[in-house]
Amino acid sequence: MPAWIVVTAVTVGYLLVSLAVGLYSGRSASKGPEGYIAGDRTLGFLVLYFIMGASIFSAFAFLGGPGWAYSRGAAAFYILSYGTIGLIPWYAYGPRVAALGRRFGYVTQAELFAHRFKSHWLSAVLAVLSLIAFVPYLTLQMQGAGYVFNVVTEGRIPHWLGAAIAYGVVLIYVYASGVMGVGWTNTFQGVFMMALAWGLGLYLPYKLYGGVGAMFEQLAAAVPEMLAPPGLDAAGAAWSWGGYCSAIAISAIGFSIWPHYFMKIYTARSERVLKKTVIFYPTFQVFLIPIMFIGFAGILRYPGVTPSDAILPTILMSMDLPAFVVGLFCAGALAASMSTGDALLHAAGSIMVRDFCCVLYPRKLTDDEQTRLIRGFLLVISGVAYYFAVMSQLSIVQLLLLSYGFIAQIAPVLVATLYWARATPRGVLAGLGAGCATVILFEYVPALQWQQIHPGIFGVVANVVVLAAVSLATTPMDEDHVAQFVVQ
Amino acid sequence: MDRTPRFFSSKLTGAERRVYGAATAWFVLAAAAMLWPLVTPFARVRPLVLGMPFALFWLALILAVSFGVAVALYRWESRRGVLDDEQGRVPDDGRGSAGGEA
Repeated sequence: MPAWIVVTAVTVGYLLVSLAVGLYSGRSASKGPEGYIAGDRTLGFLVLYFIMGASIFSAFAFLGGPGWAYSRGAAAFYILSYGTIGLIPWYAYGPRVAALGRRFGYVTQAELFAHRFKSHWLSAVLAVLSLIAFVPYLTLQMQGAGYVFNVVTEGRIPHWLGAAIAYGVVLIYVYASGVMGVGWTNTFQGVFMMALAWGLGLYLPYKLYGGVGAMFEQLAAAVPEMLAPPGLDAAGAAWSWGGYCSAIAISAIGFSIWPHYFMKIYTARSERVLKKTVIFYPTFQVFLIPIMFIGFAGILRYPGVTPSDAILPTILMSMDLPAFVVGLFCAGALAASMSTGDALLHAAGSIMVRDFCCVLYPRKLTDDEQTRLIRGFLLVISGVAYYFAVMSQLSIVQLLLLSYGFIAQIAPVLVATLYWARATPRGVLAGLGAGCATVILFEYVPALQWQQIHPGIFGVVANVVVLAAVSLATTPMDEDHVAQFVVQ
Repeated sequence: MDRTPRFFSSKLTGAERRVYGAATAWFVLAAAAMLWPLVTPFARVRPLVLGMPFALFWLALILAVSFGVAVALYRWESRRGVLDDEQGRVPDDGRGSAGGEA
């Protein structure tokens, strides 16, 4: 039997299991938005742990992670760094947000902020901001899926078809099962990815160099500049500390704030579940280490691979591995792409309905209408992302760079919501506006990019200053209302 | 409602303030130890530890200690009986009746 048939069979097998798990898991949830978006607030530790872990490990982990280590060396360590501290804030504010959600019935991030600041505008602005950040991210996941299919079937399945197959499956289970589909498929996909990352990350250095230590010995002799931070920049020159550290800082600030993660706070069954998820997150995080080993393994043995993201498939296809193993890799990489894509898609649909349509529509939408509308948005949003992924010549990378800067601007809003009673609606809106404008300004005016510092950092500074100044200059909000939110 | 915020609250007892303060201090230190300028003495290739460049080992060490600190904090809270149970039921901790809705 030709190898590509085995590979395709293993991959299709994985897709069918994902589909079955996704469809089966949605049976028990209630039909309204609380069931569809927040899983009726009943998720236990295991599922929440895998949702957080697998959503974060996107196509980037399997392709971009090794690609960074391969082309930029220790620059890739920044990913490990921000993940170490990124989720910790949840331990402090997560239980508070969950309790407020239970009390007032929130299922999205903006509902909390809009209620605290009594502002429909804030909700609509955040919905649009989230969508701007989500679509390019989702597009990248689809491109990753199409790419993997294409490489391992030796070109027999074109990009557009591979992306369509993988995301057809995602669309079906998210459409049918909502967050429960996302949760249980991520559990299956997460286990699969972890096993594969450790397997490949330890096997490849062993096979190519005789072990991890031997590999780094050779690298330390040949390319020592690639093994110590800040590593190299995209052009292959030495990266600056400013660029490396601000990448860590902006990612750590934004990490727990990304709306599709933040919403998962509401799904937790209890404070214990939430806190355990935070505590055990590093056990997922540590799997970036073997992922980086894969990229390092390519440096001396496979020089000149472009694009660098292709390093893992390139190594695998050149090693004469059994077709079954290549199939497992293909399935694992798809799992990484899909487990992020499904959470993004689900969150994007939920946010557009709850934070945009429900707020701006003159009549209150019934639960049934909301769930139907979310499903409609799933189709539209995946269609748009698919268009960008396979048909548009437009580069979305620029948009993706901006999105990290934008998302970090939500952090000051959160702090103001829970910890600063004096913050006012105008202050928060002005801060958001100033922050996002600053990000755009610094992104597009190269003269301002001092020390390669991420534009988002300047945005956060502008945001905090404007938020504080405008809040102090406007009338304070009603004390009894604010006291429900602010930590005393 | 008033049970849940423990970090950064002004209504903590002395012991609580010390424990939450220490945990917060560790995570601030952990962040600083991964960033310039504190990371520079450790941003080096040799000695290789566990086969890894020293800089990578350093980050893995911070990750491991952070994990330990978080587990210790959770166990401390658990022993004090301030956490709800796995099903979301709130313990009767005598801190007022507002906890029923959490």
